[in-house]
Amino acid sequence: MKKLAATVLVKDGIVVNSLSFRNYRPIGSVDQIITRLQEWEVDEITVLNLSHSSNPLRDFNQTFSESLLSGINTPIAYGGGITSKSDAESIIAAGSERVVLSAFHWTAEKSREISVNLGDQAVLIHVPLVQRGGVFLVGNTPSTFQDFLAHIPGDWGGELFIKDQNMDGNTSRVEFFKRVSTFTNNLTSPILAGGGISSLKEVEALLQLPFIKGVAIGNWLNREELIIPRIKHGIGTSIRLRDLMGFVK
Amino acid sequence: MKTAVVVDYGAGNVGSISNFLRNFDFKVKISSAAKCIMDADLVVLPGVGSFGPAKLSLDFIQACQSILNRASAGKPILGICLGFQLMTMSSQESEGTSGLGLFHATTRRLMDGPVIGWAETFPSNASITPNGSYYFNHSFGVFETSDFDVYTLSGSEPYIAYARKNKMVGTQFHPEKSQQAGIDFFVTLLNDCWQELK
Repeated sequence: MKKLAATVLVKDGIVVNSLSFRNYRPIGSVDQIITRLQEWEVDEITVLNLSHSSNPLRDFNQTFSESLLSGINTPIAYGGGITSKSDAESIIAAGSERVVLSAFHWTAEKSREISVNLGDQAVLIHVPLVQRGGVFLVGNTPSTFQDFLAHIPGDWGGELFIKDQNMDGNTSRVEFFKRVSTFTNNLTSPILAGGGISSLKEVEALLQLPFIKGVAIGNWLNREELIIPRIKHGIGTSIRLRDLMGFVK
Repeated sequence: MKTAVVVDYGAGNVGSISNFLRNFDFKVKISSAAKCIMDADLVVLPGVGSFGPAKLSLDFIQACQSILNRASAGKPILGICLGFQLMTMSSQESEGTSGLGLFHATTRRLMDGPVIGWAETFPSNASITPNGSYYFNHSFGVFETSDFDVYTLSGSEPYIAYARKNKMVGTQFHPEKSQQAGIDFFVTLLNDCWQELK
């Protein structure tokens, strides 16, 4: 069954939206937004803490109040400054199901180190891609997507959260991810697609791609508040989309 | 107040499962002490982790014998995801490391790749059937069903989603992260399998 995830960006303790991780605008409190997402039965919530310090566990505890954690029964993937095995293990023990690691700092050694106790499936790698002249670059670095993939073992069991960071409107998101798939064909890892997804048509088209296991919605949530329940419950969406999502919850 | 011990083997999502159990009025302790494991009303082996290091950790903290004693005494044990797999004989994830052997089954790699998300379970011989979809996050699964009193399956290469033998229950999915379906499942367990914990 494919999944519908929500991406929540946190900066200085509040939820913000942004365009390509620039120009932040406050949206609301973490408690309020996450509680609402859970009420809407979003399948998973990815929280990216943009103002992380050198102490990821402290940041996690400051982001999630005790009362919020006690009421969350939706899977959480948390990212923000996690660079070591002990960071990852402490975040999982504190209440996250998975940790989000940045592709910028990813190496095969890090993969092995962090997964040794937690298992691969506890790791989601956040991979923002920029298309330049037919080449995919990881963020705004000179590193190519192929360089990054060379560090992913063939049988790696984690998930890749691939985001279209261009969002320039010149390439459709579906074309973008079809091109991405030419590089990821040999991977067994599921792919979560994100980056500027903002229409039901796009969600439907992306979910039809066999290698896409889920879509993550970010800024769209703030513009069209009830989009998650609309998609989940098939209100104003096509039958096909409902079938793709497998509406059984 | 009824008590639950979440066994701390160093890598589990002890926070999530503890919060879940508190919502059912359990007094929760995260521990690996033999007396705690024996005396608790419910013992939970949490999910998230890798089979070999988790079992080594259980050996190191000398929790294995306490869990086996508890099982022999017929007391409730819940294994979630990796916790369920640790209750089997062994796992392909860590060849050469034996599991707790509470279930006469083995754990092996999913041929279709990892499952990270929601999946439906389908009815089988279970007297209580956890209908609906649940949150799964795993690359390995338990496939042999013969040792279980009741079980349900999931996936295209059907692996066990939920299984029960006496008072021991294993779930490959995470009830603590399966929203209302997870809550309903646990209520059903309390009603059908663990009436003494109600």
